[in-house]
Amino acid sequence: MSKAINIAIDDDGIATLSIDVAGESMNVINENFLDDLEAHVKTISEDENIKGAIITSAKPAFMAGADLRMLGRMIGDNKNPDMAEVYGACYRMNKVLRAMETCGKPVVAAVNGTALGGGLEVVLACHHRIVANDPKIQLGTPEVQVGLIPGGGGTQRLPRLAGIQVTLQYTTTGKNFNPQEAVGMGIFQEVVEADELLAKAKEWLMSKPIAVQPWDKRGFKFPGGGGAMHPGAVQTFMGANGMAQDKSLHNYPAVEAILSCVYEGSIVPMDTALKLESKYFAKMVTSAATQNMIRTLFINKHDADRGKGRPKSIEKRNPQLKYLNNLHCLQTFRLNDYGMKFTRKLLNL
Amino acid sequence: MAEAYIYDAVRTPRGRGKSDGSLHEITPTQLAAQVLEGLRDRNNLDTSLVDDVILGCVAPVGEQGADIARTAVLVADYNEEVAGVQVNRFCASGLEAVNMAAAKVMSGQSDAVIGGGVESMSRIPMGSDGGALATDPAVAFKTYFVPQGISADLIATKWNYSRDDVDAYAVESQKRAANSWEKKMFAKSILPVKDVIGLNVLDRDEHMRPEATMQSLGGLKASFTDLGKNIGFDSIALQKYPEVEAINHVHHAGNSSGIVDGAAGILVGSKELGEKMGLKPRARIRGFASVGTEPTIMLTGPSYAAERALERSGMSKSDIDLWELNEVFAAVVLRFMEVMDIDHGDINVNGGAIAMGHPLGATGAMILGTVLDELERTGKSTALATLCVGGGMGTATIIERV
Repeated sequence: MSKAINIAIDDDGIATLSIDVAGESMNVINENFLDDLEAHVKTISEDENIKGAIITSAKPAFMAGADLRMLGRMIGDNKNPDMAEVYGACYRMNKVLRAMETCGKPVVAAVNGTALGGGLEVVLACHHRIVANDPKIQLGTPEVQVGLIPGGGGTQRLPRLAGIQVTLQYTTTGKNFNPQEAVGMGIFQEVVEADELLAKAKEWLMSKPIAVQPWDKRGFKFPGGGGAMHPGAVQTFMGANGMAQDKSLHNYPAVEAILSCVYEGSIVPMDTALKLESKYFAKMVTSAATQNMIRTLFINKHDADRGKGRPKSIEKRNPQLKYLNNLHCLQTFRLNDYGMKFTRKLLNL
Repeated sequence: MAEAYIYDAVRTPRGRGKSDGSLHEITPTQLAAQVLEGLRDRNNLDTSLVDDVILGCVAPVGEQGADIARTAVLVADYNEEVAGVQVNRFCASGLEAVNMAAAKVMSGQSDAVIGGGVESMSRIPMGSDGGALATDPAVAFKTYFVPQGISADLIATKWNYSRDDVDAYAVESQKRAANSWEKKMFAKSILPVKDVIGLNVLDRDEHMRPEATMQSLGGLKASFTDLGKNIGFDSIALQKYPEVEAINHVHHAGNSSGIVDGAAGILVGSKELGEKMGLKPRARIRGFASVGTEPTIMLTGPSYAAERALERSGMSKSDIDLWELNEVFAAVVLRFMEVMDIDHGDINVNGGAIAMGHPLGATGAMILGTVLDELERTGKSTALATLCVGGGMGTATIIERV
């Protein structure tokens, strides 16, 4: 019995991978998921009877992003983590997804529910992407909101599918989009009724499609221009750098890291680009700002919302308690760069 | 250490840097080659005595790429043993080229070197060479990069120059340039540009607007408000300069340097060169300096470069008779006058780039030639020419008539 992804192969040689991560109400990317995906990709690639594969979810939502607790395990309490080791752990996701998109067999994503962060990145690494026609489905890359960057190829495949400008807008803000918008952006090829999802996915596989991503074909060009060195992209990046610094006030290293991934990654081939992305991801995972954001905005907030610090004598729904809890969360933020600079300058230090 | 002397200085007139400008049909190679031909023919220069030609060029791509200095040497029919090298210190490239020429002579490694510059902004637009400063996030974030116009407006705000102050400076620049042309003060150095059949296409700076008044400039919209407020660059400047509350956008096309085409060259040589060629040196290069300064405000370099050049030359401010500072934006000159305590009557006396334009790679050599002409015309002795430079730098050169 699989711990994260079930595989079933039908008479036509179509393998269906149903993501069902054990012990989680919503699918998340953890070690079990990566182990299963790696093994299944090997099977799909090597088994001559398999013609292609469908990836879908056995849960109502398709998949959320990486398990933040897994990221915590990558570095533990180590204040001086071995960067080569952290990078290796971060690169694993990109390695598995890259193996999937270059496995030689067509893979189609049948997205039945919300796909965010790493969940969407699994989808982007498929050769064909179909999503159910349900406006409630949320798609997006919210990593920046906890100080992270899309680390499963999102900063590389999104600009190659949707263009640099659109990618920067969504990845630096973490703003979500719905299925119809995703088709308009060029991320999905089809939006179909939910009950037709698997049939349409199989139909595409039976049409004998070519299992090569556009960016792996000779002469590939970015939508809207040829990467960061394209004259049009110069204006895009100059403007994006300006707006991002205006909004982030140099307090959110992930915003800069995302811009760097898209900029630097757009100049090099996909394999190099993915390695770069993993390096920036490793840089973020080990940065104090990101660790603080994850602790405050995810772990501590989660605890605070559940009233973890509530003395037993105080009733559960006391509104003052919630305020105090949130205040405690915020105190864990460091005095930020801007504040430090401002204070130093005022004090002539 | 050997002395470096200026034997001659020439420049083309500056053509409007647009497709309707008079120099738009002239290739940058031709602009540079005609300057080299002019220096040779005016001085009966035996070009086999020239070791090197150093030309500034700020957008060295396309037809300005692949070492335009060596290209121009070949096109100008200089002796083929004359080498050529293109340098880029942004707006000060032309002056830097002269300084490098002087350094080669002073060090005794060369007897004659031409320093100068070329820029055809109508054919190779500013920014054509890309670069990491503005676009690479890892660079732009680290350096708090803002476009130059924001830096100029930051200077105006920080030093409290109003829109009227910068406009008044611009009106005066136009007046001085018009007066200098009318009285033929540039005649000695101007080299009319010829077309492919040898006819003159331009013999006068065509960017000038002598009719400009406070009223006419007052009608112009500030150029950098949108970049500052909507693209976020004001915010970046304020993050670096929290003592400034808000940027006052005062610069516009009428009080900033004009976009033009042009080229210039200065023949620098040792004392022996003059004796061998029968040439009389016009000035001695006393000293020079380039210096890095805070990159976000970017354009404050000239005062620091000037001070360093003065110190290196063992001189003080009072030893300088005439000052020349490139008028890239009016506030840059106003600040320089204020912090260096220089009277407006002693600086940019013939007008500057606000009136006549700023062909990026060439301007440094142009203004050094202009101030040399003015020293000779007025019988004065010493001058300091300087320019502010992108990325936060300044370059300065001190000359003394001999």
